[in-house]
Amino acid sequence: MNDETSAARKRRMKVVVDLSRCEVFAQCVFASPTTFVLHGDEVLEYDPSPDEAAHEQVILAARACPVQAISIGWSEEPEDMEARVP
Amino acid sequence: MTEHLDSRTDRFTRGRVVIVGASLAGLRTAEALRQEGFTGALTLIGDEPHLPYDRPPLSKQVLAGRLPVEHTPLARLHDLEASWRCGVPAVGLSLADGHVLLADGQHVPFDRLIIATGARARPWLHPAEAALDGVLLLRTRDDASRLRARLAAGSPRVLIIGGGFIGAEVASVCRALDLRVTVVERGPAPLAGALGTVVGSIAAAVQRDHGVDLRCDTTVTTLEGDADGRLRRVHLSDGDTLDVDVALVAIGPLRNTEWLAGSGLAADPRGVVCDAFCRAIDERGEIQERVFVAGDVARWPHPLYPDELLSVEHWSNAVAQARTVAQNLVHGPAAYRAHTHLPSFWSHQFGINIKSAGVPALADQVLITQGSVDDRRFVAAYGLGGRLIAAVTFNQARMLPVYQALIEASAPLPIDFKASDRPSDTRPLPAGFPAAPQPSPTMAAPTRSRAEHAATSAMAMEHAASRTSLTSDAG
Ligand SMILES: Cc1cc2nc3c(=O)[nH]c(=O)nc-3n(C[C@H](O)[C@H](O)[C@H](O)COP(=O)(O)OP(=O)(O)OC[C@H]3O[C@@H](n4cnc5c(N)ncnc54)[C@H](O)[C@@H]3O)c2cc1C
Ligand code: SF4
Repeated sequence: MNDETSAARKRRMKVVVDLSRCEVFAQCVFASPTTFVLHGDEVLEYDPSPDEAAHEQVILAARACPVQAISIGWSEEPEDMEARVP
Repeated sequence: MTEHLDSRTDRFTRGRVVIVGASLAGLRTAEALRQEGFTGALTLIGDEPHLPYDRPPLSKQVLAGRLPVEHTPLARLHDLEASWRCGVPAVGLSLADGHVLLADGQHVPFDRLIIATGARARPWLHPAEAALDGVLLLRTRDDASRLRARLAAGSPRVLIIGGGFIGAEVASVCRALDLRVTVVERGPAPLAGALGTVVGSIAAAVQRDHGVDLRCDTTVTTLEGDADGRLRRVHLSDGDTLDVDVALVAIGPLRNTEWLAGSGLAADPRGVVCDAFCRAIDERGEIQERVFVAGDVARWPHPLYPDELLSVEHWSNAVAQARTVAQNLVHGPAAYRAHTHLPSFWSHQFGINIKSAGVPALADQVLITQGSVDDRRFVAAYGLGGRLIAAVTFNQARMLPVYQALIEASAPLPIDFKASDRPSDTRPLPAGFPAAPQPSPTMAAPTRSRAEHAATSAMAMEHAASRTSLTSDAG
């Protein structure tokens, strides 16, 4: 998702956390504090559409997660969207 | 029959696959099909006017105003090269002709079909009251936007009908926004349908600590509107009358199966019956080899709960079942895998991370095995017939995988295990499930249909052959 072709196609980074798997170790919060936030001791919230400025940190957060609960993907390309709106 | 599949070993990777329901289960199945090597034509049909989005934030961060609803579309994890039919519902299915009928009259032909139409919020029972301005449901993005706008505008008092997870999460958001909120629950405690009255009464104490006006064993008798059709007042079975301008109806789900009426499949508001490999079963009890079911709409047999067909509203099941379906569809019968994912979910409310593994609602006993109820940090273990079948944690997420493994090993309860934070009283209590759990993760019909028999006996056969070992996706 971070190669040049996809950048050229204006894919935006998206992130998804499997909160059934997450054990709230909070490594992601340290790695990328603007995208992952703790609300209370164990309530992890995240922004599935992180700001471009946070992308590198989000990649580090995904690597740091000890239970691999964080997946990084992308949003659909605009062309796709147009084709879909009836 | 429009079958064009040839007889080579890769025949399962080709042909036309149609997925009905373009949300979590539908999207993840499509991605997994491509990942598994499906090279045929893929079509997704969805009735919502949005890209697939994630629902759990809707009753949490989105409602609280911490996350714009525009940020909820689901991450795409694999290229699809699919054609999408969105904004138009499927209204019929012909198995004989192999096509799905859309509301605009189009026929979409398939060689194999995946049913992933999920569930919707059960509407308020009185249509005239349900139509009042201010009476809302919460299942979709648009529902969340409507409710968010009401809460952001400020409300003298919010009424929540139903003390299940969605009702509790919305009550939590209301209190965080400093809004007055009344929760009306017809059972003895909130969350009791899913977690029983022992843990439910802890949830009740949490709600009251946070200033929720919680009324259990209470029902709404009338929702009253003004001359302009706006909600004004609610009458309760406890005799009270409250002025409210927003009422959230959170009384459980209905599975989206109306479009399957007349198809011959065993489908009703509880879901679509399928076997352990997620193949749909018809009303005669015959397996439909070409039709698979995934996500909230599925009712499937699980080897750990042999007397039941499970149907859950759990994010992780939609993701896991998508993988099972894709694997079975692409690799064919010789490589079929049973869907043995252990049900699990989370809920965020009142600053607590509630997590669950297994099916607590089937238990006859519960005991607090670790932590402290007063601190709202504990593990509750659920047993049936002396074996561990489920566990629920409040702010103890790290403990859950241990219990998951014990549940999968059918460990005896009480558990023989040395935890440093064992509470002093570890006697099991009756789990306390109301006679008719509602909303319920499992609902066994009083008398079994042919399809239900077929589903469970197919599972028994599979289990005997032990083609797969039990694994959870955790860890
Ligand atoms: C507010 C809310 C909060 C939640 N919070 C949590 C949580 O904290 N933890 C957790 O584990 N789970 C949670 N869930 C449950 C989780 O979101 C669901 O389990 C998940 O969405 C199931 O995915 P699905 O694809 O099976 O079904 P759905 O998401 O219901 O998707 C089905 C799709 O099919 C479409 N459809 C229906 N009928 C037709 C038709 N005839 N033709 C075409 N399309 C059709 C629907 O419109 C929908 O888009 C929550 C759900 C809600 C609503
Ligand atoms: S690092 Fe992983 S386990 Fe820890 S809080 Fe983040 S997502 Fe959860």
